[in-house]
Amino acid sequence: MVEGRPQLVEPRVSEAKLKEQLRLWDTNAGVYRRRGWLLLNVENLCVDVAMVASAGTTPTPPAAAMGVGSLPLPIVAACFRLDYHNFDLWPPSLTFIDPISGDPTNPPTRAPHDEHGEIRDALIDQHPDTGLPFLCIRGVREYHHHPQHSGDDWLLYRESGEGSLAAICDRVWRYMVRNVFGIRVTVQTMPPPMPMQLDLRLMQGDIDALKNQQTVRVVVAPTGGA
Amino acid sequence: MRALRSAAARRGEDVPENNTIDLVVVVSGRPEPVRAHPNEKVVDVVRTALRESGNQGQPPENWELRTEQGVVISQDQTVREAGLLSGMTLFLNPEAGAGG
Repeated sequence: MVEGRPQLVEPRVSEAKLKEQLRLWDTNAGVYRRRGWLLLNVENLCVDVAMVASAGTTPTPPAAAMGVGSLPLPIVAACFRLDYHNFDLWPPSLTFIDPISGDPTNPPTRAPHDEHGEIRDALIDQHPDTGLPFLCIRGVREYHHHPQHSGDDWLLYRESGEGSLAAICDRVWRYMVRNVFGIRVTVQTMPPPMPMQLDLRLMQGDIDALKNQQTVRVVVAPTGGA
Repeated sequence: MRALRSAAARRGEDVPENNTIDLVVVVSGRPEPVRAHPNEKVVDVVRTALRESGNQGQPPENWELRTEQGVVISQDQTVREAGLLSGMTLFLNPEAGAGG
């Protein structure tokens, strides 16, 4: 047991596989940068990634949806750590973290997605193993190790690259970052001496439908995340 | 770099090679060069990219092809209809399976 988990794969094997993932990241680094994907840190088989949404760096939101004056306002809409221990016998573990401290935290956005015409949220508040919010998608350890998905084994998907750094980042980006199109600001004045209350929330929706002037169901991430 | 042939050329169809376009399809993070003819279906581009990336036999409908901006490209249309141009980079990932 290492740090509370069994060591099932020789770390050098996982390191070699992660190194290949990082090499592939470098080959697409320009595109990823334009998408707002920032590689923050690589250490001890863990990769920290921040994803920035803004009118300037996210290619699709309506112009000036988020801005300070005429300048875009970059927002770290998702920041997470992928843990590649025991990869790829296990898929990587995804933990949402604070981009500055690196500590686990709730993300500022939800993960709404259309599933056969129904909007569902892939961000679940508490994993039974960790108590932390997790992204309930294939290719992520928290999904495959969840009791409700014991019949959807990781090894069924390992070969298709579901757990690759690029595939996971692509899903986080589409579910939690690309669909950010604005900020809802609520100001509430209170009788003195109580201070004025300011509430900021990120708004998410189907960006492509917005561009086509279609009706969009909007998701507003609650304060404090999950 | 290996020689590229469009799916139409591989089927033995008479396709002027100077009409083909060169794409890069990033399959689960791995870039694969793919040559395509404007008249061939996008699904053939997907099949080629899957084969070249070692995912031969995987049904294309289980994969999503997207532009750099993340817009889904329908596999039913032709390369021309999809507006694909030489030099474009596309992203092919397994269709997301989510709980929640």
